[in-house]
Amino acid sequence: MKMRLGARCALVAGLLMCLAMVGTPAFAHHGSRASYDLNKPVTMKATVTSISWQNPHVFLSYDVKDDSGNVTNWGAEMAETPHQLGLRGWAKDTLKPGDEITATVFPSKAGTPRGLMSKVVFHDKVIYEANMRAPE
Amino acid sequence: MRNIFAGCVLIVSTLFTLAPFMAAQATRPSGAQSQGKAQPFDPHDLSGVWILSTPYAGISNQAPPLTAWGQAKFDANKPSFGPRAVPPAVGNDVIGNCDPTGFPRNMFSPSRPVQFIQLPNQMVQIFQYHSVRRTIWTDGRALPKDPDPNWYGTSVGKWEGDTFVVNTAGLNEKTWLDHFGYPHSDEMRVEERYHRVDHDSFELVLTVNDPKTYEKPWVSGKKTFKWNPTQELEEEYCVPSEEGHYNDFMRNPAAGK
Repeated sequence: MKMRLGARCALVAGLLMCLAMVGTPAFAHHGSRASYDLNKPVTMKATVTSISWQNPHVFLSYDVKDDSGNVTNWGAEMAETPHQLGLRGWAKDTLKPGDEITATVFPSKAGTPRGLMSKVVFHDKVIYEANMRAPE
Repeated sequence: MRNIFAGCVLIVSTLFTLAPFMAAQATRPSGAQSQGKAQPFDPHDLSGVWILSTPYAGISNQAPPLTAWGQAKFDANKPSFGPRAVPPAVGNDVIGNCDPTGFPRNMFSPSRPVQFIQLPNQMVQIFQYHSVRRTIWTDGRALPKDPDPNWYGTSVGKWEGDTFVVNTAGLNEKTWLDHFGYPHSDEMRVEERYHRVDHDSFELVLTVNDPKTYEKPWVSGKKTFKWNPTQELEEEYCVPSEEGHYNDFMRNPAAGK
């Protein structure tokens, strides 16, 4: 029983340390998350058509082809400004038109082809993963 | 010979001892020593570049009761943060048009640094976002009796012991107090109390006095600002033309508009 209590304490201490180690979250000053369904991420293979490296948030547009060959142009914004995304190691040419990516987004609640970027995979590497612990 | 050797040893060892301080004096302004909580600091010196580490983006989550006037303003404000969040395209947050954030809301940006420059007659705060300069007069002047309201108000400050106390008046009603749509009137007065805790941090407590909007003064939680390791600000503007492009391509379609 004593050991189990000790183990529990160690577990709680470990969890607290993990929580403390999570970095300062990005704070999307335009509150864009209210537009998106954070419970239903969708993943799609896509071809980048543009990257808008600008305030208030960096956003990408990309084409997605369905099984019938129909192409839909999507837009997905990051939670970050260029300054904040730069701190995460991105640059304006990290992605270029024509790059093939796998994008996971939280889609627009309105059902339009727009989303809040959750994850980007490029050349089999995760190059972006959203931190959703923003202080709201 | 022996004395010369001893003298050389003394000079060299003295130089080694003083070198870090001499280098710091030569290359860095007051208050901008290298990072380190245990480093010495002057409790009357707030100069440096700081970043808010307390995540809550407002005064506190315990607002005092609103007056009828305040409640009507609160209901009319449609924020995109917090429990009343709506998509920005159908909200009315002024910062969505690149309007000035205004004081004290500009104090609550956890990811954006602010620089303090301490001069003999004023404390200057430069906020990275919009490159906003705020002047806090420390030359003994009083607050104007009937100030013309503007975005950041008129501020005066003085040291009370180790606490820098700032009082601000003359704030227009176009801004919100925070990201959550809490309003204020142009009769609002704000007191800030800054207290440097160690080399790497200071604490700030704000008190909002606005009887037209709130039935009681609203005292903030303790907000901690941390020494920003880079000690640099970057250019970060809200540019109306870029905002328009973002609205057209992202924000409005995301809300079905």
